[in-house]
Amino acid sequence: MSGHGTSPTSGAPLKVFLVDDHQLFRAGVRHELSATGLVEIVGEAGDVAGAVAQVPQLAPDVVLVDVHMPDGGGPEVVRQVLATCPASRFLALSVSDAAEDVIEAIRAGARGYVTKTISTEELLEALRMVADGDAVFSPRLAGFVLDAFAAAPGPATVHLDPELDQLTGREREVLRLIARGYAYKEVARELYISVKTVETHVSAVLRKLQLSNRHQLTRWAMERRLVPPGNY
Amino acid sequence: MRGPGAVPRRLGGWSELRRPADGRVLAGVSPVVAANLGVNALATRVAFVVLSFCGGLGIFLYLAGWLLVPAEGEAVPILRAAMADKRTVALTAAAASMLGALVLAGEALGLPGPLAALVPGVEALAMLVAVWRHAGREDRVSAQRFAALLSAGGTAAPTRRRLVVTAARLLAGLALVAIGISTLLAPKHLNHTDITVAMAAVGVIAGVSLVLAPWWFRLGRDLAAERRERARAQERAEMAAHLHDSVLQTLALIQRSASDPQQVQRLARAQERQLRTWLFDQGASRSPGAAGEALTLAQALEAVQQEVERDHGLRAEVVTVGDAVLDEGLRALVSAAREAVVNAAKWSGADMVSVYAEVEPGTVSVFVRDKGSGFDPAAVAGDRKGLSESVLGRTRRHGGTAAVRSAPGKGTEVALSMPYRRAS
Repeated sequence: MSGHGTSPTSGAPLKVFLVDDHQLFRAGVRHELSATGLVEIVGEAGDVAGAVAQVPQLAPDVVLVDVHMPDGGGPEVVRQVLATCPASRFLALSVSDAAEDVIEAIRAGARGYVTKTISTEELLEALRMVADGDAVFSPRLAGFVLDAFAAAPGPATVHLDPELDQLTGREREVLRLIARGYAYKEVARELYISVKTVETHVSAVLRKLQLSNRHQLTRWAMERRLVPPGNY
Repeated sequence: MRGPGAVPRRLGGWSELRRPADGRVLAGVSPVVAANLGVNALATRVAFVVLSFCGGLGIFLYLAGWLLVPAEGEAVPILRAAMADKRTVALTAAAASMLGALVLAGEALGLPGPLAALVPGVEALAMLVAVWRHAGREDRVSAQRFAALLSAGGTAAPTRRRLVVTAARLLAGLALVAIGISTLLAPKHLNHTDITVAMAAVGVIAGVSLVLAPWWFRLGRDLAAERRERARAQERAEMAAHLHDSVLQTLALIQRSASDPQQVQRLARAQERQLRTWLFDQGASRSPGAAGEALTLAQALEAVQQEVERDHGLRAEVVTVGDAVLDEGLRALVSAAREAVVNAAKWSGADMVSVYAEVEPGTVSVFVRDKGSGFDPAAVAGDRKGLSESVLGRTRRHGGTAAVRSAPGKGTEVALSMPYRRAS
């Protein structure tokens, strides 16, 4: 991608570790990503314990972690690995889109979140961006953040850091376009800014999301639990 | 007996006289008289009008004819039916006495001329009350026209007659105003009682009313008619949009899957169920996109997503920021958004569509975007109603704004917004 030529990892294949409790899904992802020749799957795990044991040794560029797993799921993997190996980078993968889980994974330290319906090319791009230290916001995550930060701070939140608990106008604009399905490149063109600037805004939002003290964030996410698709 | 169409007719006796249902201007009195006397119906009508200016004699005679001669297909004249009904007698007496009292009060105060002219009005009023309560449907319409004619607001009357009546009405009204004002202002009346002053004031008001009433009446009627017409047009457009969304879509799907009888059957059954619900469950949500139980914007869009993914095999990513209870406008917004998604499924060639909805104070916005083939919005065929009617037209009809951004090869984005008042 033209906006991403500066990536330090663009030469060698990306080292990716897979964490998902569905063996079939892991096989599918492994096959698809390996077929591109741009990714090397260095390992995989089907549960939290397996991931926590292997990731620090294998030192992958990115850990692709399923949000929904027994024993605390993706957020638990992220928390425990980061405790011993703070340089690890995580991309969360979710099928249910429950705000509660997604927000929790991000707050635990994942640098982005994508849905399992994502195309291989998009997933590849997302993995690259996370490996580069950028944040990856899917439209739904952008929507979650807009929603969570839209609620006017009540009296209980006055002691909070306004730096962290509010989005700037520009950040809001960027998130809105992402929520509308715009790729970073398209967001840049729409707002007459560079892709790098878009990435800066998104990273700033991610940081706020992870560091914000807003205790309502969790409560909001709980209330916002969505009906999982498929039970029609 | 003669056939119903035999007009004018030769009549044997009074009891056989019947006012015809067609060929009448008001109540069909003139044709009866004309046929009986062997003269032209127009001449009879002119005679009635001329006699109306002789102390209202024409009006009196006409109304008498109306009351005494039964309408075609009726056995008894209106008068007999009216006399048999105590309430009509009472009502008539009350109305007549009220008007009579007004006239007498005017006479007692020495207000000449115009008030005396109200005597035929008393008769006319009483007779009209009788007609109104006992006439058939045809005669009711005629009574309405007659009343309108008396106030010179009638549109059915010939132009010249209306001019004469209008002039008379204007003169009477202005005279009332003049008399009233001069009574109020004249120095010799300064020592008069309060009643005189009140009567003069009433006279002024009555005069103004007499001059302006037909105009008020007409204005109100025009407004009502216009409103009805607009409501009808809107209803038609809604109906067309709905049929396009549901039935035409299903037929298109059926054509496409003609080789698969099971699929065709499934589609037809689903469509039948939906159409039935829409036609006979008027209380339920009328928009096909929102499932009957969808109460909020997010739920409705979720339903749209599921429906489109099931019927069109298109992946829809729906993101909602905030939520709102559905009202009429938001239902239209959801239907329009659904149609935009279906359009993307059918024309864009993209395998995925993004739907983003945001609730802000006062507004709800929805964006539907695909990264498919795109098109030139200026070059869409006129019979492709999907975009112009079901999406843009529907949104605008409900007071929202709608825009399409697309170019060949650049994908398509439909931006919709609808004013929204939060029910709190």
